[in-house]
Amino acid sequence: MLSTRSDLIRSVRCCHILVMVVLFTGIGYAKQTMIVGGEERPWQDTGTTPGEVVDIVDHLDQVRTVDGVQLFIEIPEDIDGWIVPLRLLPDFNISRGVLARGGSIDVPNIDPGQRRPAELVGMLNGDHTIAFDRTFTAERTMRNYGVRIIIDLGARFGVNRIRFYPRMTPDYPFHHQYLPAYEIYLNDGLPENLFASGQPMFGSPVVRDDSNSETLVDLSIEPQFARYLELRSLTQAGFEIDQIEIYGTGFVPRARYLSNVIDLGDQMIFGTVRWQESIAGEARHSRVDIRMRSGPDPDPEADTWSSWQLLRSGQQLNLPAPRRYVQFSVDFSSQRLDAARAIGELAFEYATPPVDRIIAEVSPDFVQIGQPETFTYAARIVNTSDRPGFEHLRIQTPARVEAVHEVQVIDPSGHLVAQAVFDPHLAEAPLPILQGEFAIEAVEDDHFALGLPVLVQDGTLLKVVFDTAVFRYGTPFDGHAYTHREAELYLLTEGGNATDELGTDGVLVRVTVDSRIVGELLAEPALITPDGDGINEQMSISYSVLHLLEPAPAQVRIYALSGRLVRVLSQTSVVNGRYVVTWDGRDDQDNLLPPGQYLVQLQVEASRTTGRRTILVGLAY
Amino acid sequence: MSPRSASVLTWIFAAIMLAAPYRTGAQQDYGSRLGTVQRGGRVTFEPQGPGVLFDALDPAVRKWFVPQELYNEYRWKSWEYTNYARDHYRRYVDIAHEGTHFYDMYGNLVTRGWLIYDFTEDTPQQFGSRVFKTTRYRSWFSNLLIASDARGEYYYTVTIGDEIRTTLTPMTFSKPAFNGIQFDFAADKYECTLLLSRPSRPAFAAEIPDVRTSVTNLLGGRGVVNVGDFVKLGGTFVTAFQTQTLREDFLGSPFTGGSLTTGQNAVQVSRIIIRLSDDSPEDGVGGAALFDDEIIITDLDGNTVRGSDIGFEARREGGFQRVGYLAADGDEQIFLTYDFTSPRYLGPDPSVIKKVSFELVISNDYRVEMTSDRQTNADGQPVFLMVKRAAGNIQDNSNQTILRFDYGLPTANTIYGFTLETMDLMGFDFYGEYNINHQYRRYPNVNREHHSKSIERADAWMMNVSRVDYPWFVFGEAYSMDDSYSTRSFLVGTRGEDEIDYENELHYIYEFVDNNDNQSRYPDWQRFGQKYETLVFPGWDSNNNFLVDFNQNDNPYRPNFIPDYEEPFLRYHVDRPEFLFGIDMNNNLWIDRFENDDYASYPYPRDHRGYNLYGGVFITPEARLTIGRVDERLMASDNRNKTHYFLFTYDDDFAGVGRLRVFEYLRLAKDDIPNDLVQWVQPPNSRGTMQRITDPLAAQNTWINSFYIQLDYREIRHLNIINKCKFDYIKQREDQPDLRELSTFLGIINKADYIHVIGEIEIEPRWKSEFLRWRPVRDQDPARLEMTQTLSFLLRFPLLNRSMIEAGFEFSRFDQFRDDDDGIPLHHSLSPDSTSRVFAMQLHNRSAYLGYELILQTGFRIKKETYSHLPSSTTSHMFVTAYAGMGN
Repeated sequence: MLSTRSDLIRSVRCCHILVMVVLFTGIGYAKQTMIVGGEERPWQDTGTTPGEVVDIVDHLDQVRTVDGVQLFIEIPEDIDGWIVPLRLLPDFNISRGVLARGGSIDVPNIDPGQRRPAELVGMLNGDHTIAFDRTFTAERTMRNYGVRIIIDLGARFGVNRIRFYPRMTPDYPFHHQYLPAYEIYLNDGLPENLFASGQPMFGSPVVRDDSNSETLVDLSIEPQFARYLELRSLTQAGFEIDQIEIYGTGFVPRARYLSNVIDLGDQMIFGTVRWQESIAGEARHSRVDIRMRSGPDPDPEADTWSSWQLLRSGQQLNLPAPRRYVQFSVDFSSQRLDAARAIGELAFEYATPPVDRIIAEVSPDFVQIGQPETFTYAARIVNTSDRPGFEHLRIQTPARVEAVHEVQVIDPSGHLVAQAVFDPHLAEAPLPILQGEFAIEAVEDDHFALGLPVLVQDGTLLKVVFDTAVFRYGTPFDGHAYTHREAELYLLTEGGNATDELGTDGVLVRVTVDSRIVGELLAEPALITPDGDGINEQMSISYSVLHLLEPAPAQVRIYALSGRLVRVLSQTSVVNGRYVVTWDGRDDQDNLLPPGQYLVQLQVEASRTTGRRTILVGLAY
Repeated sequence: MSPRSASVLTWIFAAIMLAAPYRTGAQQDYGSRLGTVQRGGRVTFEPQGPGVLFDALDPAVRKWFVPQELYNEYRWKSWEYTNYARDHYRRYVDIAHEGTHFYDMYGNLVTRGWLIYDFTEDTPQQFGSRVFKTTRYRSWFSNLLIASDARGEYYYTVTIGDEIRTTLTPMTFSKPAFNGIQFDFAADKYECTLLLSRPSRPAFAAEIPDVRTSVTNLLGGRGVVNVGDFVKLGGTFVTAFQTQTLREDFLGSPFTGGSLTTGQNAVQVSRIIIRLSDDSPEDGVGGAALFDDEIIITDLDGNTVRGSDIGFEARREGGFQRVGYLAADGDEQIFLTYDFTSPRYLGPDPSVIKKVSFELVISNDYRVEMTSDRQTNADGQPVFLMVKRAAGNIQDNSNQTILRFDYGLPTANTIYGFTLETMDLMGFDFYGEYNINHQYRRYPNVNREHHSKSIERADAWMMNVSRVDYPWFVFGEAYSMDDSYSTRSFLVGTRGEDEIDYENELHYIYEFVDNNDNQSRYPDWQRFGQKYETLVFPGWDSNNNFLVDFNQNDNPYRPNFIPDYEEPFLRYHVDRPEFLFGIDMNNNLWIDRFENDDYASYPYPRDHRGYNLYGGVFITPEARLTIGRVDERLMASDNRNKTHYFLFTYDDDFAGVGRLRVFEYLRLAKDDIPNDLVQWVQPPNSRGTMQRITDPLAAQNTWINSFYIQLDYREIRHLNIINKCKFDYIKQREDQPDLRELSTFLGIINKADYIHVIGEIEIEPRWKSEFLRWRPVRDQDPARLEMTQTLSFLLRFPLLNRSMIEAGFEFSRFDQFRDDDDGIPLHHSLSPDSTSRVFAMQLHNRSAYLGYELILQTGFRIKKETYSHLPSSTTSHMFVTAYAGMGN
């Protein structure tokens, strides 16, 4: 699978070069590819890693355990530059980056006057000139028993070693002021282990020593996830702490890479997105979520930007388009210290749109579920940037259209400039069906495609009238406009007011919300005579499945009137839509059944309910 | 006497004689002013007002000083010269005047005494709710007042207290420490109870009343009627509702869903946010699918406008865009924000909005929550509250629906229900309870007194039926509790005036049913105005001394960090908790009676619906066979527990020999319902703490067998021999990630002790052997194969009369069989081979001293531990300790 991905990336690179060639040849419209993580846009220049818990490595085989064991096994050879959750090395002091990653240090239960920020920060930053000083002087005594130093590490880490000690430099020879009795608590920061206020609940200490005699306390503990650490004094004696060092092991369980806002240079439409992924440890113990969003301006927090969309490698980007700016994020998470994922190059396709925008609406926008309906689809072209226009439009439909009646092109002044009227018996005609400059090029179960004269003028209105049925609530009739038939990237139509004639202002069609999952069950003809004369030899049984978005088991069975099952006609998985099966009057043993009446039963087993329909059919000779 | 002297005396006498008439002449007639005014007749304290007194008809200009307290007590007149040469001055004492006269609303004198408790509510006015508990309420009456009466079969009692053990029914109201007023009535056939409290500020004993404008009040009650001799019918009503005393009407009444507090209704709602998420995020698919959303706004004139009509749409954030809908799978969330301050909003001004409703076309496994800029925590951050969860875990859109709900701030929570109980009716005992929960919300509007109300309903019910017809017996239980069934209400103004922090459970939540798994005097969770326990170990305090049975010698003054089953000398008697045997109906591998959680202690958990049915036979009086089946499911997801079980118990005491116990518990379980716990555990170097225990879901399709046998042999005097064996077998019938296919536990304990007495000297040798072979359920936990042999000798002999010397030596050998050739354990969490030797000696004196029993102990303990690959350690402990006791 990884080699396939490598091939894809290679092909993407080749396309990139090809695109550049095409661009220089002056054609003006072509697919481009943005690769993040490659040589042109290395990870470190393209984004940031909040908390600095994401590592950027050239080669994944560099990620190894202390013993040198390589953690990522299947690594594509031609990928240089990976992002991977930080793996803690024995000498990586987690404390150092606490403040940078948004963590904190506090001693909540001492007199506020004794809570000097410089001393607190000094316990983390490696500065050996300042310490958290709880020693007594002639003028100063204080309550030291129970003093709690709480550190929020800013992120969760697999902690396995903790060190703390007083100042021990020649200028500050305070070896004797070590902490003689203490407890250490850890909290992993998971919501169930926090109080409602967000404060960590500390249970039992991971370490307790009420008779410490070591100046430098160096504790190895069972590796465990920790977000918060509490060091609690169990002594009334004076002490000081110069540094608290925290070390860990394994990958950090949560890490994020956030790209900068990427300027594509112009309003763009988007194609597919792909990336390389490699896994350490068991796959089920780690995951990575990549999200993307787009916007018309450089400020991603503005209302004009889309929300984040979770992506799968190889999918078509459904971001609002055309847009000039995009941003993506990579969220790593793992449940085990030895499990993680790494992301190699991330690439996505984009191209200049054929026109600026296409505003579309469909009417009616509320229909009877499962019933054929005549729809009028209107699309208004917005093109103030002299883009090349489009000559190919694909309209997504919930089921195969039964007829395309008419296509009209109306200029901005409202004059009909071109028109094609098609034969309504679409099923019987071979494709493409040509009508002047218009053509019905394809009719599939989920779309039909039209060939058009080049539509380029701003304000031009395209109207298409066709018949189909809707099988679930919120069915979008999206239009994909291609510059030409071979073009790979398309401009998606936007729902809006294309024409005042329709007044629906959208491409979403709604139906009555109900609990039925089985629609009409029809047999055509209802009586067959499978006697070999070529007439009424087979019965076409069609049925509608309503609402279902995920496949559900469906069976079509033939019963004799006595209730005996004679034929399982179909056993398949279905989602919403229309289905057709045929019956030739035979049973499961391929024997012709005796003449008479039979029951056709449809059964669909959805999660919530089982839908059934039964009709009576006839068999004669 | 000389003439001169006589002359002087004469003059003095003359002067006196002259002065006498003068003084008499200076004695004015003050008439009744001198205190002779009498009211006439009996002194009364009835509120009659001052009357016309004949004696006071004294026409003089001089100011009246009506003689009252000082004259009556001391005969002291304010104009009279005071001279204390002969009669010493006495300080004021007011014994006769202590207390105050109190009158009821009819003018009857109630008493002369002290106000102890006062709960009043006056409307309309600011600070109209008033609770007053004087310090005498605490110091004289220990926070408890009881008034009662009885006549014939009729009894009633009014109890006012801060910690009253109160239960109406287990599903509606059950608190170990109810703070409020309880009125109880009982007759032969009827019983009823009324509860009243102001839980938001129940007031603490002080000399100033606690006055509030916005409060949360509680009203509850239950009535029970005996129908015939065998049937009891009961009804229950409980409500906690917010109210404010500025209102003139009864809108804040307990029966209409309370009212908005002054704080809730202070500012208009300007932004409402709906959050959609996956109700079963662990599967990562099939979460909320949002197809459409619509807001419907109703203004004060009753005009209704739909968002789609005025182009007002929610700002959508989050979710995965699918074809025609937005999905929130796994951890993803969808936020719909309706901002009335947005320039795109062209509907009614927020100040004239009466009601806001929503319609969501939604499907799959959704969870819908809602908040607004008026529904926040202490930091002003919005707090989401649950609106609806999808039933089951539908992922194919077959449950698509239009979900309709209104926005509002919570104002009341009400439960009403009924119970039916039969006793020995045709041999059957039955208890059934059905409750309906209404949760009220109201939409705030400062320009309105009547606020639009919305109600969410949830149901809960249970029934138990049993019959014993020796040797046969049968028991059945069925239960259901909606996930949204709630026995909690928000509290207003617990820390300030009328604020609510919707996120802060500790200070702003009142529970009708407390979490009290160990049935102690305090709840197991922290809530406003009540004490709570931090350490809860149900079933592990069999002697009720508030100390966990596995660390009896621990207390805050002398903390002990070693569990008793590992501590020298104590470990002879105390065995590890793994050796306990018990019933585990929820298959989370914890014995049910030891379970603790952090939920309200209902008889059955929330969101569960199911039944359990078993029947059996006594083979002999000591031996019992039981076969049963439990089938339950979570209503808001598709998790289910379907378990068939077989139980055999035998418990017999053979005279002169000992006691034999045999238990066999076999289950075939298909259970993927997580039953997480919060249990007391004692990690090393700890006194013990509460830790969250995650259910490993080890019985998703599993055979589980648990066998236990124990023989206590006591035939020989002073010789005790105890043998225990426990064997667990857990076999997965399908591959389960992170679980072993076969998990077993074999534990054998043999121990014997004998007390030999020579004169006054006692010698007690002890031997204990503990063998453990354990392959835990989780594959990440290492298998264990260990043996511990412990031999100890105790010597006791008296010294004089009240002293005793005890000396003890213990030798213990631990063998870790899961180690390599060098003796290094195969897993870092396993202990290496070790040997420990402990010698201890103490002098024990028990003396009577100043009314106490003084126990003095002094001695030492030396312990040496050696390991095969670690440095040995020698520790010592010396002590001189005195305890003052009250005797055993």
